[in-house]
Amino acid sequence: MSKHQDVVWKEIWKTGKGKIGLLIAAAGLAMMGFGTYRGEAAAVLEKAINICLECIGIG
Amino acid sequence: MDKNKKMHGRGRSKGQTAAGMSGGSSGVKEWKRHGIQATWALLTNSYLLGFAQGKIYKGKLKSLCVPGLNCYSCPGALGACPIGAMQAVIGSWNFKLTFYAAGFLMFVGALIGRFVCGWLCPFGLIQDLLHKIPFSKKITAFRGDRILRKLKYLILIVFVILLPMFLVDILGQGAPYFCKLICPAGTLEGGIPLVLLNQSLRSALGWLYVWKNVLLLITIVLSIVIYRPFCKYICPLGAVYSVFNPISVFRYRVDQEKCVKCGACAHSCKMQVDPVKNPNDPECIRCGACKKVCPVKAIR
Repeated sequence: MSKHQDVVWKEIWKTGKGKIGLLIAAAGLAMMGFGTYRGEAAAVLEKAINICLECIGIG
Repeated sequence: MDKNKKMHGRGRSKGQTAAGMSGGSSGVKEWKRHGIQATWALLTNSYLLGFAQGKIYKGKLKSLCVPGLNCYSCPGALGACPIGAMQAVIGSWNFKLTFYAAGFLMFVGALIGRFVCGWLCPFGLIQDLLHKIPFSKKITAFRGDRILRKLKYLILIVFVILLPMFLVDILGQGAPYFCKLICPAGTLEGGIPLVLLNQSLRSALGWLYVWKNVLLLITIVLSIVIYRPFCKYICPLGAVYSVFNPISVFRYRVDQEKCVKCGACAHSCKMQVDPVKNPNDPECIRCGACKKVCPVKAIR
């Protein structure tokens, strides 16, 4: 890690908002994991691999 | 104070007066950003066979969301639009809450906020390029602009969440109402190319296709006159990311000691944000125009 990057990360970590952002990002990752576990990613795949007639203005 | 005056004077001596920058970031080189936007759009829509055959990509990558508004029915799309994914899950008969799409939006939003709008959204790039078309009466601000910007939150709540959740068919499935009734990106990226390339789809055209093309045409014309009208007033994805702008990890900071209050940043902003007052305004798409024009490099 370069000196500049090191400074940037220290700045992010020392500010409250930076910490909140990192915590929310981590929570988002956990939610994605949970969503995948309960089959949501498969539901997205099923929708996305077929032409969405509503999306293109036909259905 | 003296130091500020001196700095202010130095900034102006370079010809970067606030008045000289009114009406947008003229003079600010945006082509590097457009290059990144275009590269990202090509990378995430690189299924060229789809364009050749009038079909869409059907691989497993499609379960992954891309950060920008990118219709998954675009023949080249390799990933899923997060707003489309959200409606697909909310509208399915066996799920009503979406942890996957919401988690993705939280993850991206908390890290970079509306940086996505400025740098990683194909439909944002299209609007950026359309706005470069010369027109004598470009509109930068008008009465009701601020209130109209709240419309995207209403669209997010009603068309992306509530309608797919509650307006369901006999099987309990809700349609993706935002995609169906509003989204011009779907028409441009998916509807037009697929209809042009696919005979069977052409025979199924009806009033909805006409309606969506009218909306697309309005968006195109407005984009020439107003900077990013879809992003400002309609886009539910921008609405989600805007909520995260103030707390996202990577955000703008203004060094108040360096700042000479010349107003150059505010005048360069085509989203009508004043970075000195709020460097992480929900409307900021982090295009970087303000950073480039700052004469004292106070914005980081």
